[in-house]
Amino acid sequence: MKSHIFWPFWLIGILVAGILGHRVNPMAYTGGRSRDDEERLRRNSSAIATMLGEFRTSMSDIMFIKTERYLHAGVGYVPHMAESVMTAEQLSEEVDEHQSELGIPDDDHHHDHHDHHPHDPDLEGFELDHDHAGTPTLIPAAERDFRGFIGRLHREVKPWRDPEKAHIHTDGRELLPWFRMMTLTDPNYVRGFVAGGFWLQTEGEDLAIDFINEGLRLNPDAFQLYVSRGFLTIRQYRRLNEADEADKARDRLQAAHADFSRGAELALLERPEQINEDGTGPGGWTTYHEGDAMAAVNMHVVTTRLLGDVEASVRLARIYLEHFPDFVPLQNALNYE
Amino acid sequence: MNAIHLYAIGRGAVLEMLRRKDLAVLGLFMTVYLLFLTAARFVGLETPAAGTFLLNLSLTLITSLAHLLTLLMAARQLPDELERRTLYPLMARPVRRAEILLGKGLASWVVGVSVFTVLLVPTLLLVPRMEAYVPSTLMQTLFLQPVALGMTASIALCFSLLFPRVLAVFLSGLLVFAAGMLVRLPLLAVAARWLPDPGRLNLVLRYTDGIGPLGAADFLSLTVSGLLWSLVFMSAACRIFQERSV
Amino acid sequence: MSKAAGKASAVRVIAKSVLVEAVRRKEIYVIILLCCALIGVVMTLDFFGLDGLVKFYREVALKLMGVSTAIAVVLLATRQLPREFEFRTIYPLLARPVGRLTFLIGKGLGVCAAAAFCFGLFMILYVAGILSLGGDLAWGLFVQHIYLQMLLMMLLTSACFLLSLLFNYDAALVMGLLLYSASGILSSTSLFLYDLTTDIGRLLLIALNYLLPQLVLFDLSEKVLHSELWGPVSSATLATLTVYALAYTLVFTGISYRLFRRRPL
Repeated sequence: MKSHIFWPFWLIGILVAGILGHRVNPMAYTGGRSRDDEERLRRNSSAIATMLGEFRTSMSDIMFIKTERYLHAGVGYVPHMAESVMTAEQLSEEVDEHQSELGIPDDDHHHDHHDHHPHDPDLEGFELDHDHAGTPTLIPAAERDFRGFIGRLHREVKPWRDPEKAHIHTDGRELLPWFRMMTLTDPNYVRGFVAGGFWLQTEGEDLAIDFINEGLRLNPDAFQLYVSRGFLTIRQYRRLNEADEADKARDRLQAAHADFSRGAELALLERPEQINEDGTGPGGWTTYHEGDAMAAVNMHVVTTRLLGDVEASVRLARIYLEHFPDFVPLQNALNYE
Repeated sequence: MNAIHLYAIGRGAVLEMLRRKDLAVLGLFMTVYLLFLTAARFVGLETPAAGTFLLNLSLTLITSLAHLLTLLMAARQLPDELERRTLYPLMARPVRRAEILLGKGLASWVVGVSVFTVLLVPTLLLVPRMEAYVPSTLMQTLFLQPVALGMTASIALCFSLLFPRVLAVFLSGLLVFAAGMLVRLPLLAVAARWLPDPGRLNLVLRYTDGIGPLGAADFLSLTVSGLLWSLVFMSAACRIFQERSV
Repeated sequence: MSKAAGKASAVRVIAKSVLVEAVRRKEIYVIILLCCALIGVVMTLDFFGLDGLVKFYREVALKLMGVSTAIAVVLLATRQLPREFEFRTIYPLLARPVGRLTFLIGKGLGVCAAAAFCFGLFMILYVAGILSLGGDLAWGLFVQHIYLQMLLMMLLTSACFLLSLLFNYDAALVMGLLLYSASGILSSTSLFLYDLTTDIGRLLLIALNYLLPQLVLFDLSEKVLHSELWGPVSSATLATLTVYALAYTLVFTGISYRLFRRRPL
């Protein structure tokens, strides 16, 4: 028998196998420990992870390590990067702070725990973070290294810095490809879109919003992405408002309001009934899920009020207080009554 | 197809593997692996997250090793026989070429499944499960692995007839270990559906993430898809081998 | 011709035959082409349309090129001696007035030459790629990186020769790849275990630290990548690393020679 007789069978086989295989993606689920940043911080700080160096089986873990290294100009520290467990709102503020430390225009506040005028001339142009000074490096300092001259060589050939000194922070721009890779390899990794979006805003809010939109196309029920887009849009609103472009500003405010409204709705649907004191709950509900949910409801109330409907904002605050009875900003919102 | 022929050819391939002392390599891996598990237990797993990490790492390692050995064994079956000219006595017997190929493919698959099983036992015994996992997801993982190994064996066997050995190993390895990632690259996204991806049948991360099993229809789809890919590559390999002058 | 000149000539002939065979079998080209194809696929990635994001490409390229060259070295080095025995090509060679040490050195230099050929091609492509992307290259660090990688390949070659004389070809291949890939893990594991173990354990770890070559010491790629902050390493460090690599290479070659001499033909 000649091959051409088999071609139709092969083509049908490939067609059916391709369609059947492609209709199922075993990784298309929301949540999961591998995507939980708090759990990731715990596992990456564990003894076993330290022993393995950079070797990981999860792509998002590998990317996480890369972003940490790039941020610290290659110096390997025991995982400590607080950005990984921040809520969308905190991340937004962190990026503002990061921009201001690097002297990027638009900075409106300065934190004295960061320093961009280091005394070391080699570090001119780099941000120094004193907050995490003392975090151990993966290659230990001489007094903690039993390896003698091998340890010394190791510290020489790898990017290494005395762990007691302030951490060097690069501008974070070169982190962006790793966020792109994170979301390409795992399109359901919502936090990758959230964190990537906030780093990307240093390049322009429109780019960041496009990235979040991509995340929303792939994860239409992820409330954190609505919250992220809402915060990005609010930044645009503020800027337009300050520039006295009232119509455009109102348009942005309405867009942000719609995002926070949808975000709050989805967050309350996803939020478990029972929440622990630390904000965690069953089904993988973490503190930053809780933080994002709170930000969504609060900003929904705030944007409703900014749009001029004070009565509706108070009504919303009352509804949301049933879910978050101790949340002070919501309690304060009642004062507008 | 003659079952006795298949058995004899498969047995020959496995015996050849034993003669080449490949078991020593496996023993070596096993020793390193057990040392690693013991070291991990010795330093302690301070949080449940570390326990899950070790479980995921161990299951991923043994799955990868089983695929690697299956791939290497399948990819060298025919090139080795042709180089040593040991294929000719075999072909002089009343054995069909398809039987030779299928026997060798089956032998590679059996070796892969055996390695996976042998390494799975210490993994399940030594690695503590410190968080909640869904046992039925593990069952699905264990069921799908042999199907995935069948894909690996047939892909490597087929490529070994099409390309030089190094290229065949590399291209098979790319499909087996990186197809899932490659199809996410914009350049290859068009081909996503039509690239065989044994990694899609790997549910290890789903299991260690604490997620429930796939629905019956999805599970069946993956199984049938894996079997069909194996069939396509195996039959293509048979045709190439039939038409090849040796 | 003096005896030394004769030996040098024999070493050159044997080394050349290894290099010619490596090039003739096209495996090196296949490895280079596949590696370049992978890098090419990665280069098609667009990062939000932003210019100047080159670190990602640099890292992927440097890692892939380093790993590919090491795989080529392990493949070539572990098969040199077993193949000579299997195909009985060693007999006519040793029937000539060629000592076994000369034979070993020739083979080793041949593998190193093949590694240099492979890595050299890679580095030309790397520089061309970086320059075309408009990136800067810290030449001092870059040249040091190439030099250290060559020392690593020399060390790896001698270790693989020893492994191929201790085990069969497949086991040597696996061990060689394990040595290369797990060296960093062994180093970080020993650092971690040291604080947790007993005095005997600590002694064992110290012994292991000096017995096994620490291959991570020959990788400057991270500094090359973040060269905006890190300058070239000192010449004293380079000299120490050269002595370190030579010492292991000599020890491994010495043991290989003893094993080779005792081996019945």
